[in-house]
Amino acid sequence: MNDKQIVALYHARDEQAIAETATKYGSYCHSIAYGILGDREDADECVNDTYADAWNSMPPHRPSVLSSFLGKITRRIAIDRWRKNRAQKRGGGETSAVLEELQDCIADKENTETAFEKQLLAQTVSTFVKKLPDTERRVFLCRYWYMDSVESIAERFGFSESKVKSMLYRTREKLRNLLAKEGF
Amino acid sequence: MKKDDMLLDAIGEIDETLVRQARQKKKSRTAIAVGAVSLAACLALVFAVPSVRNAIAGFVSPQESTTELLMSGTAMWEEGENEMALAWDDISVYYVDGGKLSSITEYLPCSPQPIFEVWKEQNGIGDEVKLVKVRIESNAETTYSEFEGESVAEHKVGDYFILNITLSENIKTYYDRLDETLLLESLKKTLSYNLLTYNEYHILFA
Repeated sequence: MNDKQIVALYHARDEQAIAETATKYGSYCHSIAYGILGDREDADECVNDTYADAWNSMPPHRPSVLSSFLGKITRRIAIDRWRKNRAQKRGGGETSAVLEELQDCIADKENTETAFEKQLLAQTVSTFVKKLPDTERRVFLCRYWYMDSVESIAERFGFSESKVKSMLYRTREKLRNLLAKEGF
Repeated sequence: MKKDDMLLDAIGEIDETLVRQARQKKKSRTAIAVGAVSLAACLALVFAVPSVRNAIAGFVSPQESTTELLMSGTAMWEEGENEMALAWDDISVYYVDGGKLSSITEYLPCSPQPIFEVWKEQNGIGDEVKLVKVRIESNAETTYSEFEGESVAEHKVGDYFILNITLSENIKTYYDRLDETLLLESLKKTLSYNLLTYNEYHILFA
């Protein structure tokens, strides 16, 4: 079943939409959640929460590419779960390492933020990533959006792990300089 | 919330197309044999073949351009045309960066429309500006080929190429913000993605 047909099921409030979503995108969403959480049970729960969120979002949304829509939901839910786990001092996955890497990119001047500042930061990061050379961008997104391990990124691109680490380091430096310049 | 957490959330808002492309496998540079239905598609197929591409890389343009040429080879793409992209490649997309041109490399289908969309985005140009037509003229000898029963232009070193780009007139509203000469230069360089060395460029408005 193609994405258009699955989205139509959601809009028709036909529960077959969830079954079709699970068949087509269950593994994909699970891989995102597992990468963030490092725990199968937690990842399973996140995927189920993704289906519920998707059911509540469509209508009105009508995404043309369902994988991107669902992937974004799963990522958000998994990161929220990770934060809850962190507060309770449990959980694994790549997220701790990723956060540690990103710590150097942005000054932790204060612990409050506004919705406007969050939006501005999102726009700045988006523009930065768009302007990256293709390979650097893909490696960056595999690491910091998908939370893929350095090992799996190296395998995917046919690079050594040290090359991946160097590439990520250079990109983070560029991002850090840009964010400092923009006042973040 | 700590700032690094905010950054993690901000990364989550990155364009979904870029996110999706991040994990896609790159396609091979060799020509993909699919049914071509236009001369433009045939030209692109010819130039995807490494031996021909190498020959063209050695092409040296004539010292002087001339309009007194017998143009027998023409390839054209028009807005709304439902063409099949034959290959994907790393495409250099040029944009006006202060008083100079800069470029980014994007992995894109070798087809004018998606490349033009990225060019607009990089230059901060809105959706209202359209790419109406792209037309390549050459003095190549056109021969009939068994390949899909179409005429194919066979190119050799020394051939003369003209790239004609037709844009919607409303591009001119951006000239007060972006230097006209640099902007059009960035477009010419970007749409020269098919490895041809053009002898002339014409930018037209519709």
